[in-house]
Amino acid sequence: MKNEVFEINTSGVDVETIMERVCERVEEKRRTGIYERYNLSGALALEMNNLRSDDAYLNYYLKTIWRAADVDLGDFEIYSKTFLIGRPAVWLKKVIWKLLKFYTFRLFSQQKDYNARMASIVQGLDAKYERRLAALEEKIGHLRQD
Amino acid sequence: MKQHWKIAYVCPRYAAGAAGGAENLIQSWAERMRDRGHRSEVLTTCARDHTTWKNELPPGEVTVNGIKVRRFEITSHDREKQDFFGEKIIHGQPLTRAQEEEWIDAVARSESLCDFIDQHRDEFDLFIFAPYLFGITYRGMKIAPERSILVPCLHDEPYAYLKIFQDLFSQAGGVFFNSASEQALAHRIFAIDRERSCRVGMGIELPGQLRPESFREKFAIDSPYLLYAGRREGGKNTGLLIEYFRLFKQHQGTDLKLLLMGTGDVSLDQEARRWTRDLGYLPVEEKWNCYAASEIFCQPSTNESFSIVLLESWRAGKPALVNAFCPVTRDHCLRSQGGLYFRDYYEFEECLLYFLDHPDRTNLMGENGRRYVEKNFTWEEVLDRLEEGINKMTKSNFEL
Repeated sequence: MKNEVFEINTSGVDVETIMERVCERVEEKRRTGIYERYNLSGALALEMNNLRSDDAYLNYYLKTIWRAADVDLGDFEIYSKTFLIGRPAVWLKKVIWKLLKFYTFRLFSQQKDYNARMASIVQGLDAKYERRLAALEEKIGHLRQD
Repeated sequence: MKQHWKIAYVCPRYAAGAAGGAENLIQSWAERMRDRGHRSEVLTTCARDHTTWKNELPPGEVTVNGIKVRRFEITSHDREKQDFFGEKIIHGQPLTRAQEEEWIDAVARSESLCDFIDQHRDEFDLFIFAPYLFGITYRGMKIAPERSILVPCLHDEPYAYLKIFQDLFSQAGGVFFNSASEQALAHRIFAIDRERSCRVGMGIELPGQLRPESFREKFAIDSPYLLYAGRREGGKNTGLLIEYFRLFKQHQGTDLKLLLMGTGDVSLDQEARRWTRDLGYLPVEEKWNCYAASEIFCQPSTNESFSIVLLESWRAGKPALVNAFCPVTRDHCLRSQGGLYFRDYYEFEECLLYFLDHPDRTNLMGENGRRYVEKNFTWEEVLDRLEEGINKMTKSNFEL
Protein backbone atom coordinates (compact mmCIF):
# COMPACT_ATOMS: atom_id res chain seq x y z
CA MET A 1 0.00 0.00 0.00
CA LYS A 2 1.34 3.42 -0.96
CA ASN A 3 0.83 4.91 2.48
CA GLU A 4 3.24 2.44 4.06
CA VAL A 5 6.35 3.82 2.36
CA PHE A 6 8.59 6.58 3.76
CA GLU A 7 11.48 4.20 4.45
CA ILE A 8 14.87 3.70 2.88
CA ASN A 9 17.43 0.97 3.40
CA THR A 10 20.94 2.33 3.34
CA SER A 11 24.40 1.18 4.30
CA GLY A 12 27.68 2.81 5.19
CA VAL A 13 26.37 5.37 7.67
CA ASP A 14 24.66 4.88 10.99
CA VAL A 15 23.38 8.26 12.12
CA GLU A 16 22.54 7.09 15.65
CA THR A 17 26.08 5.76 16.18
CA ILE A 18 27.55 9.02 14.89
CA MET A 19 25.30 10.95 17.27
CA GLU A 20 26.48 8.80 20.19
CA ARG A 21 30.06 9.70 19.27
CA VAL A 22 29.13 13.36 18.98
CA CYS A 23 27.59 13.30 22.50
CA GLU A 24 30.63 11.46 23.93
CA ARG A 25 32.95 14.04 22.40
CA VAL A 26 30.85 16.87 23.89
CA GLU A 27 31.05 15.24 27.34
CA GLU A 28 34.80 14.79 26.98
CA LYS A 29 35.28 18.46 26.08
CA ARG A 30 33.04 19.47 28.96
CA ARG A 31 35.15 17.43 31.41
CA THR A 32 38.39 18.94 30.16
CA GLY A 33 36.99 22.46 30.60
CA ILE A 34 37.17 23.49 26.94
CA TYR A 35 33.69 25.00 27.06
CA GLU A 36 34.53 27.27 29.99
CA ARG A 37 35.83 29.84 27.52
CA TYR A 38 32.53 29.92 25.63
CA ASN A 39 30.03 32.71 26.19
CA LEU A 40 26.65 31.25 25.29
CA SER A 41 24.45 34.01 26.73
CA GLY A 42 23.27 35.31 23.32
CA ALA A 43 22.36 31.84 22.07
CA LEU A 44 20.77 30.77 25.37
CA ALA A 45 18.38 33.73 25.31
CA LEU A 46 17.17 32.59 21.88
CA GLU A 47 16.97 28.95 22.96
CA MET A 48 14.68 30.02 25.81
CA ASN A 49 12.07 31.12 23.23
CA ASN A 50 11.48 27.46 22.49
CA LEU A 51 10.86 26.60 26.11
CA ARG A 52 7.33 27.92 25.98
CA SER A 53 6.32 25.76 23.09
CA ASP A 54 8.22 22.53 23.30
CA ASP A 55 7.96 19.92 26.03
CA ALA A 56 11.05 18.09 24.81
CA TYR A 57 13.11 21.26 25.07
CA LEU A 58 11.96 21.82 28.65
CA ASN A 59 12.66 18.22 29.60
CA TYR A 60 16.18 18.47 28.20
CA TYR A 61 16.92 21.58 30.27
CA LEU A 62 15.45 20.00 33.39
CA LYS A 63 17.78 17.05 32.90
CA THR A 64 20.86 19.17 32.37
CA ILE A 65 20.18 21.91 34.94
CA TRP A 66 22.51 20.26 37.45
CA ARG A 67 25.42 20.47 35.06
CA ALA A 68 25.15 24.26 35.12
CA ALA A 69 24.23 24.55 38.79
CA ASP A 70 27.20 22.55 40.05
CA VAL A 71 29.88 25.25 39.82
CA ASP A 72 33.39 23.75 40.11
CA LEU A 73 35.14 25.42 43.05
CA GLY A 74 38.26 23.27 42.87
CA ASP A 75 41.56 24.44 41.49
CA PHE A 76 41.96 24.34 37.71
CA GLU A 77 45.12 24.11 35.70
CA ILE A 78 46.82 27.48 35.38
CA TYR A 79 48.92 27.81 32.24
CA SER A 80 50.42 30.38 29.94
CA LYS A 81 50.30 30.43 26.15
CA THR A 82 53.54 32.48 25.94
CA PHE A 83 56.75 30.45 26.04
CA LEU A 84 59.22 33.20 27.03
CA ILE A 85 57.44 34.59 30.06
CA GLY A 86 55.48 31.41 30.67
CA ARG A 87 56.88 30.33 34.08
CA PRO A 88 56.74 33.73 35.83
CA ALA A 89 53.29 34.37 34.33
CA VAL A 90 51.99 31.06 35.67
CA TRP A 91 53.52 31.77 39.12
CA LEU A 92 51.91 35.24 39.18
CA LYS A 93 48.51 33.88 38.14
CA LYS A 94 48.70 31.25 40.88
CA VAL A 95 49.47 33.88 43.50
CA ILE A 96 46.58 36.08 42.31
CA TRP A 97 44.21 33.10 42.31
CA LYS A 98 45.21 32.10 45.85
CA LEU A 99 44.66 35.63 47.11
CA LEU A 100 41.32 35.93 45.35
CA LYS A 101 40.21 32.49 46.45
CA PHE A 102 40.55 33.48 50.07
CA TYR A 103 37.97 36.25 49.58
CA THR A 104 35.73 34.73 46.94
CA PHE A 105 35.42 31.13 48.13
CA ARG A 106 32.64 32.01 50.56
CA LEU A 107 30.74 33.84 47.84
CA PHE A 108 31.14 30.95 45.39
CA SER A 109 30.02 28.35 47.92
CA GLN A 110 26.93 30.43 48.77
CA GLN A 111 26.15 30.71 45.06
CA LYS A 112 26.64 26.97 44.64
CA ASP A 113 24.31 26.30 47.58
CA TYR A 114 21.67 28.61 46.02
CA ASN A 115 22.05 26.98 42.58
CA ALA A 116 21.63 23.52 44.08
CA ARG A 117 18.48 24.54 45.93
CA MET A 118 16.99 26.18 42.85
CA ALA A 119 17.76 23.18 40.65
CA SER A 120 16.21 20.85 43.23
CA ILE A 121 13.09 23.01 43.53
CA VAL A 122 12.58 23.23 39.76
CA GLN A 123 13.08 19.49 39.27
CA GLY A 124 10.95 18.71 42.32
CA LEU A 125 8.08 20.89 41.07
CA ASP A 126 8.27 19.30 37.65
CA ALA A 127 8.17 15.79 39.14
CA LYS A 128 5.29 16.74 41.43
CA TYR A 129 3.10 18.11 38.63
CA GLU A 130 4.10 15.26 36.34
CA ARG A 131 2.75 12.81 38.94
CA ARG A 132 -0.43 14.85 39.45
CA LEU A 133 -1.05 15.05 35.70
CA ALA A 134 -0.49 11.30 35.31
CA ALA A 135 -2.99 10.61 38.12
CA LEU A 136 -5.55 12.96 36.53
CA GLU A 137 -5.09 11.41 33.10
CA GLU A 138 -5.59 7.96 34.61
CA LYS A 139 -8.75 9.17 36.32
CA ILE A 140 -10.05 10.66 33.04
CA GLY A 141 -9.32 7.34 31.33
CA HIS A 142 -11.38 5.45 33.94
CA LEU A 143 -14.23 7.96 33.68
CA ARG A 144 -14.27 7.62 29.88
CA GLN A 145 -14.43 3.82 30.20
CA ASP A 146 -17.36 4.09 32.65
CA MET B 1 -16.50 4.94 -7.80
CA LYS B 2 -15.85 8.24 -9.55
CA GLN B 3 -12.49 8.46 -11.34
CA HIS B 4 -12.12 12.23 -11.60
CA TRP B 5 -13.12 14.74 -8.97
CA LYS B 6 -13.86 18.44 -8.95
CA ILE B 7 -11.78 19.74 -6.07
CA ALA B 8 -11.76 23.18 -4.43
CA TYR B 9 -8.48 23.94 -2.67
CA VAL B 10 -8.95 26.46 0.13
CA CYS B 11 -5.94 28.29 1.58
CA PRO B 12 -5.44 31.74 3.08
CA ARG B 13 -2.94 32.98 0.49
CA TYR B 14 -2.21 32.07 -3.11
CA ALA B 15 0.24 34.35 -4.89
CA ALA B 16 3.80 34.14 -6.11
CA GLY B 17 6.20 35.28 -3.40
CA ALA B 18 3.51 35.31 -0.71
CA ALA B 19 3.42 31.66 0.10
CA GLY B 20 4.57 29.53 2.99
CA GLY B 21 4.98 25.75 2.96
CA ALA B 22 1.24 24.96 3.12
CA GLU B 23 0.41 27.33 0.25
CA ASN B 24 3.25 25.88 -1.80
CA LEU B 25 1.87 22.40 -1.19
CA ILE B 26 -1.67 23.39 -2.19
CA GLN B 27 -0.48 25.08 -5.38
CA SER B 28 1.51 21.98 -6.38
CA TRP B 29 -1.37 19.60 -5.60
CA ALA B 30 -3.89 21.75 -7.53
CA GLU B 31 -1.72 21.96 -10.65
CA ARG B 32 -0.61 18.33 -10.65
CA MET B 33 -4.04 16.89 -9.89
CA ARG B 34 -5.37 18.97 -12.81
CA ASP B 35 -2.73 17.26 -15.00
CA ARG B 36 -4.13 13.90 -13.87
CA GLY B 37 -7.57 14.84 -15.15
CA HIS B 38 -9.17 16.18 -11.95
CA ARG B 39 -10.78 19.62 -11.99
CA SER B 40 -9.02 22.06 -9.68
CA GLU B 41 -10.16 25.44 -8.41
CA VAL B 42 -8.60 27.57 -5.68
CA LEU B 43 -10.53 29.61 -3.12
CA THR B 44 -8.34 32.11 -1.33
CA THR B 45 -8.17 35.65 0.03
CA CYS B 46 -6.85 38.95 -1.27
CA ALA B 47 -4.04 38.97 1.30
CA ARG B 48 -0.35 38.51 0.56
CA ASP B 49 1.13 39.07 4.02
CA HIS B 50 0.27 36.70 6.85
CA THR B 51 1.07 39.30 9.52
CA THR B 52 -1.01 42.27 8.30
CA TRP B 53 -3.70 40.35 6.33
CA LYS B 54 -4.24 43.47 4.22
CA ASN B 55 -6.43 43.03 1.11
CA GLU B 56 -3.60 43.76 -1.31
CA LEU B 57 -4.87 41.80 -4.33
CA PRO B 58 -8.17 42.57 -6.10
CA PRO B 59 -11.15 40.30 -5.34
CA GLY B 60 -12.57 38.16 -8.17
CA GLU B 61 -11.40 35.49 -10.58
CA VAL B 62 -7.91 35.12 -12.04
CA THR B 63 -6.05 32.27 -13.71
CA VAL B 64 -2.70 31.26 -12.20
CA ASN B 65 -0.72 28.63 -14.14
CA GLY B 66 -3.95 27.42 -15.74
CA ILE B 67 -5.83 27.11 -12.42
CA LYS B 68 -8.96 29.18 -11.74
CA VAL B 69 -8.34 31.19 -8.56
CA ARG B 70 -11.19 33.01 -6.80
CA ARG B 71 -10.07 35.68 -4.34
CA PHE B 72 -12.26 36.93 -1.49
CA GLU B 73 -11.68 39.86 0.83
CA ILE B 74 -10.54 39.37 4.40
CA THR B 75 -13.46 40.65 6.46
CA SER B 76 -11.99 40.38 9.92
CA HIS B 77 -8.49 40.63 11.28
CA ASP B 78 -7.91 42.11 14.71
CA ARG B 79 -4.21 42.14 15.56
CA GLU B 80 -4.76 43.40 19.09
CA LYS B 81 -7.26 40.67 19.93
CA GLN B 82 -5.12 38.04 18.20
CA ASP B 83 -2.11 38.99 20.36
CA PHE B 84 -4.18 39.33 23.55
CA PHE B 85 -5.63 35.81 23.34
CA GLY B 86 -2.52 34.44 21.64
CA GLU B 87 -0.35 35.33 24.65
CA LYS B 88 -2.80 33.59 26.98
CA ILE B 89 -2.78 30.46 24.80
CA ILE B 90 1.01 30.36 24.65
CA HIS B 91 1.23 30.64 28.44
CA GLY B 92 -1.28 27.84 28.95
CA GLN B 93 -4.06 30.01 30.39
CA PRO B 94 -7.44 28.38 29.74
CA LEU B 95 -9.89 30.13 27.40
CA THR B 96 -13.58 29.47 27.00
CA ARG B 97 -14.74 28.04 23.70
CA ALA B 98 -16.23 31.43 22.77
CA GLN B 99 -12.89 33.14 23.46
CA GLU B 100 -11.06 30.54 21.36
CA GLU B 101 -13.45 31.27 18.48
CA GLU B 102 -12.94 35.00 18.98
CA TRP B 103 -9.20 34.41 18.70
CA ILE B 104 -9.37 32.27 15.53
CA ASP B 105 -11.66 34.83 13.87
CA ALA B 106 -9.26 37.59 14.86
CA VAL B 107 -6.39 35.84 13.07
CA ALA B 108 -8.07 36.02 9.64
CA ARG B 109 -11.60 35.41 8.44
CA SER B 110 -13.42 35.91 5.15
CA GLU B 111 -17.24 35.95 5.25
CA SER B 112 -17.54 36.09 1.47
CA LEU B 113 -15.33 33.02 1.06
CA CYS B 114 -17.50 31.08 3.54
CA ASP B 115 -20.67 32.29 1.76
CA PHE B 116 -19.26 31.05 -1.54
CA ILE B 117 -18.56 27.58 -0.08
CA ASP B 118 -22.05 27.49 1.38
CA GLN B 119 -23.76 28.48 -1.88
CA HIS B 120 -21.65 26.25 -4.15
CA ARG B 121 -20.98 23.26 -1.88
CA ASP B 122 -22.80 20.84 -4.21
CA GLU B 123 -20.78 21.93 -7.24
CA PHE B 124 -17.59 20.45 -5.77
CA ASP B 125 -16.86 16.84 -4.88
CA LEU B 126 -14.29 17.82 -2.30
CA PHE B 127 -12.83 20.78 -0.44
CA ILE B 128 -9.19 20.56 0.61
CA PHE B 129 -8.22 23.01 3.36
CA ALA B 130 -4.68 23.95 4.51
CA PRO B 131 -3.29 24.79 7.03
CA TYR B 132 -5.38 24.33 10.20
CA LEU B 133 -4.51 27.49 12.14
CA PHE B 134 -6.71 30.08 10.41
CA GLY B 135 -10.30 31.26 10.66
CA ILE B 136 -10.71 30.55 6.94
CA THR B 137 -10.07 26.85 7.54
CA TYR B 138 -12.00 26.67 10.82
CA ARG B 139 -15.13 28.43 9.52
CA GLY B 140 -14.92 27.00 5.99
CA MET B 141 -14.67 23.39 7.08
CA LYS B 142 -17.74 23.69 9.30
CA ILE B 143 -19.92 24.25 6.20
CA ALA B 144 -19.47 20.81 4.63
CA PRO B 145 -17.23 18.77 6.96
CA GLU B 146 -18.10 15.39 5.45
CA ARG B 147 -16.63 16.40 2.09
CA SER B 148 -13.76 18.45 3.53
CA ILE B 149 -10.17 17.23 3.75
CA LEU B 150 -7.90 18.93 6.24
CA VAL B 151 -4.17 19.22 5.51
CA PRO B 152 -3.22 20.60 8.93
CA CYS B 153 0.57 21.11 8.65
CA LEU B 154 0.53 20.50 12.39
CA HIS B 155 3.30 21.26 14.92
CA ASP B 156 3.39 20.50 18.62
CA GLU B 157 2.37 23.99 19.71
CA PRO B 158 -0.03 25.35 22.37
CA TYR B 159 -2.63 26.34 19.74
CA ALA B 160 -3.06 22.70 18.70
CA TYR B 161 -4.52 21.89 22.13
CA LEU B 162 -7.48 24.31 21.86
CA LYS B 163 -10.98 22.87 22.20
CA ILE B 164 -12.12 24.26 18.83
CA PHE B 165 -9.59 22.11 16.98
CA GLN B 166 -10.84 18.90 18.59
CA ASP B 167 -14.06 19.26 16.55
CA LEU B 168 -12.24 20.39 13.43
CA PHE B 169 -10.06 17.28 13.33
CA SER B 170 -12.68 14.78 14.46
CA GLN B 171 -15.39 16.02 12.06
CA ALA B 172 -13.23 16.35 8.94
CA GLY B 173 -14.02 13.91 6.14
CA GLY B 174 -10.30 13.17 5.91
CA VAL B 175 -7.08 14.39 7.48
CA PHE B 176 -4.00 14.20 5.27
CA PHE B 177 -0.52 14.54 6.77
CA ASN B 178 2.89 15.37 5.44
CA SER B 179 4.94 13.02 7.61
CA ALA B 180 4.71 10.07 9.98
CA SER B 181 5.67 12.24 12.98
CA GLU B 182 2.98 14.79 12.20
CA GLN B 183 0.41 11.99 11.88
CA ALA B 184 1.50 10.42 15.19
CA LEU B 185 1.25 13.81 16.91
CA ALA B 186 -2.27 14.38 15.55
CA HIS B 187 -3.44 10.94 16.70
CA ARG B 188 -2.06 11.72 20.15
CA ILE B 189 -3.91 15.05 20.43
CA PHE B 190 -7.13 14.44 18.49
CA ALA B 191 -9.69 11.71 18.10
CA ILE B 192 -9.19 10.85 14.42
CA ASP B 193 -10.56 7.71 12.85
CA ARG B 194 -7.65 5.74 11.25
CA GLU B 195 -9.76 5.22 8.12
CA ARG B 196 -9.83 8.95 7.51
CA SER B 197 -6.15 9.58 8.11
CA CYS B 198 -3.26 9.16 5.70
CA ARG B 199 0.18 10.46 4.78
CA VAL B 200 0.66 12.24 1.47
CA GLY B 201 3.44 14.85 1.46
CA MET B 202 4.78 16.73 -1.51
CA GLY B 203 6.82 15.77 -4.54
CA ILE B 204 10.38 17.04 -4.72
CA GLU B 205 11.89 16.96 -8.18
CA LEU B 206 14.85 18.68 -9.79
CA PRO B 207 13.94 21.47 -12.23
CA GLY B 208 16.77 20.39 -14.57
CA GLN B 209 20.55 20.08 -14.60
CA LEU B 210 22.19 21.56 -11.48
CA ARG B 211 25.04 24.03 -12.03
CA PRO B 212 26.77 24.75 -8.71
CA GLU B 213 29.89 26.23 -10.37
CA SER B 214 27.95 28.85 -12.31
CA PHE B 215 26.10 29.76 -9.09
CA ARG B 216 29.39 30.27 -7.22
CA GLU B 217 30.71 32.33 -10.09
CA LYS B 218 27.60 34.50 -10.41
CA PHE B 219 27.50 35.35 -6.69
CA ALA B 220 31.31 35.42 -6.26
CA ILE B 221 31.31 32.72 -3.59
CA ASP B 222 34.71 31.12 -3.05
CA SER B 223 34.31 29.57 0.44
CA PRO B 224 32.47 26.45 1.47
CA TYR B 225 29.16 27.32 3.13
CA LEU B 226 26.50 26.09 5.49
CA LEU B 227 23.11 26.88 3.94
CA TYR B 228 19.84 27.99 5.50
CA ALA B 229 16.80 28.33 3.23
CA GLY B 230 13.25 29.40 4.06
CA ARG B 231 11.40 32.17 5.87
CA ARG B 232 13.70 34.15 8.16
CA GLU B 233 11.84 34.69 11.43
CA GLY B 234 11.97 33.85 15.13
CA GLY B 235 9.60 30.90 14.75
CA LYS B 236 12.06 29.29 12.34
CA ASN B 237 15.07 29.83 14.66
CA THR B 238 17.03 31.80 12.07
CA GLY B 239 18.41 34.08 14.81
CA LEU B 240 19.52 31.08 16.83
CA LEU B 241 21.40 29.67 13.83
CA ILE B 242 23.22 32.98 13.35
CA GLU B 243 24.19 33.04 17.06
CA TYR B 244 25.37 29.43 16.95
CA PHE B 245 27.40 30.12 13.84
CA ARG B 246 28.91 33.20 15.52
CA LEU B 247 30.15 30.97 18.36
CA PHE B 248 31.39 28.40 15.86
CA LYS B 249 33.47 31.02 14.04
CA GLN B 250 34.81 32.36 17.35
CA HIS B 251 36.05 28.96 18.52
CA GLN B 252 36.87 26.99 15.37
CA GLY B 253 39.41 27.96 12.76
CA THR B 254 37.53 27.13 9.59
CA ASP B 255 36.69 29.03 6.43
CA LEU B 256 33.12 27.70 6.45
CA LYS B 257 30.58 30.52 5.96
CA LEU B 258 26.86 30.86 6.52
CA LEU B 259 24.63 31.54 3.54
CA LEU B 260 20.98 32.54 3.92
CA MET B 261 18.28 32.50 1.26
CA GLY B 262 14.55 33.09 1.48
CA THR B 263 12.05 35.77 2.43
CA GLY B 264 11.77 37.89 5.58
CA ASP B 265 14.03 40.36 7.32
CA VAL B 266 17.25 39.24 8.91
CA SER B 267 19.39 41.46 11.10
CA LEU B 268 23.14 40.98 10.86
CA ASP B 269 25.63 43.03 12.85
CA GLN B 270 29.04 44.03 11.48
CA GLU B 271 30.77 40.94 12.88
CA ALA B 272 28.14 38.57 11.46
CA ARG B 273 28.39 40.18 8.01
CA ARG B 274 32.03 39.01 7.81
CA TRP B 275 30.98 35.36 7.64
CA THR B 276 27.32 35.52 6.60
CA ARG B 277 25.92 36.20 3.16
CA ASP B 278 22.23 36.94 2.71
CA LEU B 279 20.96 36.33 -0.83
CA GLY B 280 17.27 36.92 -0.07
CA TYR B 281 14.63 35.39 -2.33
CA LEU B 282 16.08 33.47 -5.30
CA PRO B 283 14.30 32.25 -8.46
CA VAL B 284 13.74 28.47 -8.66
CA GLU B 285 16.75 27.60 -10.82
CA GLU B 286 19.18 29.62 -8.70
CA LYS B 287 17.67 28.20 -5.51
CA TRP B 288 18.47 24.67 -6.67
CA ASN B 289 21.98 25.63 -7.75
CA CYS B 290 22.45 27.20 -4.33
CA TYR B 291 21.56 23.88 -2.66
CA ALA B 292 23.97 22.04 -4.96
CA ALA B 293 26.84 24.45 -4.25
CA SER B 294 26.52 24.17 -0.45
CA GLU B 295 28.51 21.85 1.83
CA ILE B 296 25.83 21.21 4.45
CA PHE B 297 22.22 22.29 4.81
CA CYS B 298 20.92 23.41 8.22
CA GLN B 299 17.26 23.42 9.31
CA PRO B 300 17.23 24.88 12.88
CA SER B 301 13.43 25.18 13.12
CA THR B 302 11.43 23.09 15.59
CA ASN B 303 8.10 23.98 13.93
CA GLU B 304 8.05 21.79 10.83
CA SER B 305 5.38 19.41 9.59
CA PHE B 306 7.31 18.41 6.45
CA SER B 307 10.21 20.80 5.68
CA ILE B 308 10.25 21.21 1.92
CA VAL B 309 13.65 22.92 2.00
CA LEU B 310 15.26 20.00 3.85
CA LEU B 311 14.00 17.54 1.24
CA GLU B 312 15.06 19.83 -1.60
CA SER B 313 18.59 20.05 -0.24
CA TRP B 314 18.71 16.24 0.05
CA ARG B 315 17.44 15.96 -3.52
CA ALA B 316 20.45 18.08 -4.48
CA GLY B 317 22.63 15.52 -2.62
CA LYS B 318 23.62 17.56 0.43
CA PRO B 319 23.76 16.27 4.03
CA ALA B 320 21.64 17.98 6.67
CA LEU B 321 21.94 19.27 10.19
CA VAL B 322 18.59 19.67 11.96
CA ASN B 323 17.19 20.61 15.35
CA ALA B 324 16.74 17.47 17.48
CA PHE B 325 13.68 19.03 19.12
CA CYS B 326 11.75 18.89 15.85
CA PRO B 327 10.34 15.33 15.64
CA VAL B 328 9.61 15.65 11.91
CA THR B 329 13.07 16.66 10.67
CA ARG B 330 14.84 14.36 13.16
CA ASP B 331 12.66 11.50 11.95
CA HIS B 332 13.55 12.34 8.33
CA CYS B 333 17.26 12.12 9.29
CA LEU B 334 16.87 8.75 11.00
CA ARG B 335 14.80 7.25 8.18
CA SER B 336 17.09 8.55 5.44
CA GLN B 337 20.44 8.31 7.30
CA GLY B 338 21.02 11.63 5.60
CA GLY B 339 21.77 14.01 8.45
CA LEU B 340 22.68 14.74 12.08
CA TYR B 341 20.76 16.62 14.77
CA PHE B 342 21.66 18.96 17.65
CA ARG B 343 20.06 19.84 20.98
CA ASP B 344 22.33 22.71 21.98
CA TYR B 345 25.32 24.70 20.76
CA TYR B 346 27.89 22.10 21.83
CA GLU B 347 26.24 19.40 19.73
CA PHE B 348 25.81 21.85 16.85
CA GLU B 349 29.55 22.55 16.91
CA GLU B 350 30.51 18.89 17.21
CA CYS B 351 28.17 17.86 14.36
CA LEU B 352 29.65 20.52 12.07
CA LEU B 353 33.18 19.38 12.98
CA TYR B 354 32.17 15.78 12.24
CA PHE B 355 30.92 16.79 8.78
CA LEU B 356 34.11 18.73 8.04
CA ASP B 357 36.46 16.02 9.37
CA HIS B 358 34.73 13.09 7.62
CA PRO B 359 34.12 14.12 4.01
CA ASP B 360 33.44 10.54 2.84
CA ARG B 361 30.72 9.93 5.43
CA THR B 362 29.35 13.42 4.79
CA ASN B 363 29.02 12.70 1.07
CA LEU B 364 27.39 9.37 1.86
CA MET B 365 24.81 11.11 4.05
CA GLY B 366 24.02 13.49 1.18
CA GLU B 367 23.66 10.50 -1.14
CA ASN B 368 21.35 8.74 1.35
CA GLY B 369 19.21 11.87 1.53
CA ARG B 370 18.98 12.03 -2.24
CA ARG B 371 17.87 8.37 -2.45
CA TYR B 372 15.32 8.88 0.35
CA VAL B 373 13.67 11.74 -1.54
CA GLU B 374 13.83 9.94 -4.88
CA LYS B 375 12.22 6.86 -3.40
CA ASN B 376 9.44 8.49 -1.39
CA PHE B 377 8.76 11.95 -2.76
CA THR B 378 8.42 11.79 -6.53
CA TRP B 379 5.21 13.41 -7.73
CA GLU B 380 4.04 10.08 -9.11
CA GLU B 381 4.24 8.51 -5.62
CA VAL B 382 2.72 11.52 -3.89
CA LEU B 383 -0.26 11.85 -6.25
CA ASP B 384 -0.91 8.09 -6.05
CA ARG B 385 -1.03 8.47 -2.25
CA LEU B 386 -3.31 11.52 -2.55
CA GLU B 387 -5.76 9.71 -4.85
CA GLU B 388 -5.65 6.62 -2.67
CA GLY B 389 -6.33 8.75 0.42
CA ILE B 390 -9.32 10.41 -1.26
CA ASN B 391 -10.65 7.02 -2.35
CA LYS B 392 -10.27 5.66 1.19
CA MET B 393 -12.01 8.70 2.65
CA THR B 394 -14.90 8.61 0.20
CA LYS B 395 -15.41 4.88 0.82
CA SER B 396 -15.76 5.44 4.56
CA ASN B 397 -17.85 8.64 4.27
CA PHE B 398 -19.88 8.55 1.08
CA GLU B 399 -19.67 7.41 -2.51
CA LEU B 400 -18.87 10.25 -4.90
